[in-house]
Amino acid sequence: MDNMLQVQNLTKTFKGFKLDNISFSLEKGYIMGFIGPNGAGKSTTIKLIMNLLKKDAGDVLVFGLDHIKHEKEIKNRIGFVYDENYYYEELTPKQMAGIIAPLYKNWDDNAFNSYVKRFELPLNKKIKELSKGMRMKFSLAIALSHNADLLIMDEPTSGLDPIIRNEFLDILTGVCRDEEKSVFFSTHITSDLDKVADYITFICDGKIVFSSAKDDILESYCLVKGANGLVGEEEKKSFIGIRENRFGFEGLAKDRNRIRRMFGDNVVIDRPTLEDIMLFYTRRNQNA
Amino acid sequence: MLSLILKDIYLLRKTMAFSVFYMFVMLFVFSRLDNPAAVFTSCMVAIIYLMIVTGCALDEKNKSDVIFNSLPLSRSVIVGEKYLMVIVYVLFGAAVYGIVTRVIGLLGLIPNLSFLTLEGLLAAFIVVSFLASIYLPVYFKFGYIRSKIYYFILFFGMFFGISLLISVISSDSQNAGSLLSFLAVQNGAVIGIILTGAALAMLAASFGISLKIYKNREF
Repeated sequence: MDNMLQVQNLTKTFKGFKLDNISFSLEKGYIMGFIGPNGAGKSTTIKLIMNLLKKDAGDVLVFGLDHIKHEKEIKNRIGFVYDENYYYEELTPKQMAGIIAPLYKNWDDNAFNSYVKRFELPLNKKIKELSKGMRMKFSLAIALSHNADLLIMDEPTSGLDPIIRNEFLDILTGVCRDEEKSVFFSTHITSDLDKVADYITFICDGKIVFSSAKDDILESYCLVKGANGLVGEEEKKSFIGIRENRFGFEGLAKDRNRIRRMFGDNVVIDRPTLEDIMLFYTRRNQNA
Repeated sequence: MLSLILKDIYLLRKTMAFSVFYMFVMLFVFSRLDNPAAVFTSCMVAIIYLMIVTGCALDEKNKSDVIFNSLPLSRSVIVGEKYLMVIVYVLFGAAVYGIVTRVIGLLGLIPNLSFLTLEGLLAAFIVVSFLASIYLPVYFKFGYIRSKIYYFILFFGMFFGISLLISVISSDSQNAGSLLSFLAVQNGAVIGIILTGAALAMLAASFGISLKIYKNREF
């Protein structure tokens, strides 16, 4: 398997937060969703991969190469989209593209022009006059116009309306259709990943909770619903998290067969969404 | 590197245009100075200060370090461009000064106008190099907002430092005498080369410090 991105035992400590020995990998041709609540360490991980932050320990290999020793070579093959606009607001997309294009070895003017046309980007309007959606599309056009093999995106859909978000996700799916490019995509809007991701890496409080194929994750967890009084202290140990109200309880568990043996037909067992999994894990960490 | 220079030129177009008007105003204000060479140096320092600081302010406002450090650009290029821009600004300032003094001269608005000379250009380059060599490492360490206070200190320190240097040289008559007698036997070209070399060495040393600082920066 070709690993496009491999993170091994990556550690970074700040005052009050530690990204704790995280590891995961992304293969060629796949989209990996990187999920977690705000402050979980998603942006820190991405900044460490991009060498915007200095790691304390661990390794980051991009295309099998060390991300610091081969930084320039690697960045020529990475397209990036961040959560906010970092391009000069005083310049137009045309001027900004003119500055960036010569920096990439494989810049493709035709590709850029075709994305400009497709996204209906106003080339001669100042970036500060563009809507958030347009700015994001401009970032995406830049990221896709130099034949990048890996796209790294930090919450690109946050703050976008549902129509533009869907359009954005369609573009990502299209990018990976040839199975040559990979996308590493952080978000806390998990419904985005239900549509496009092949793999999910879940980070919570600086630690990786899981990193697996999306379908395996959704199959391996179960959402259990039942009446109050069914769950005692002993039963609660079988759950990752449990939420109770006056109508009954809802809990996330990992072992579907054990739950079935424990409760029989007294509970309803559903397939959880990524959001359910994220919420129950996050709540457990908060209560720990 | 050329891309980054192009970026600063795009960003500073308005400031550059404004500097032409600013140069007119300064020439009228400084025309009362006795020393004509000081007029040119003062105008140049003011214009170049404006451009260096505006460029740094716009970079910080747009958090451009995040983008530039995500592009296939080495940190030495990002730092080096700021130093190269000092030379670009000196050439630009000299061109503006040359054009503005020519226009004022043709119109006869200021008597005893100080025209652009090679000596004046070198003097301006040396002063600006000194300022930039101190300011840029501080900017790379603390960013624009936090480095503003240092720039004020630097300006006042420069004027105070020059008077202090003169008094030290005057009191240390033996060493000062040997320095002055050394300079007295040199012709203008040799002195110009020595001082320009010193300014370039100062910029090179400052670049080394800035690069070391910037390589350890996090964004």
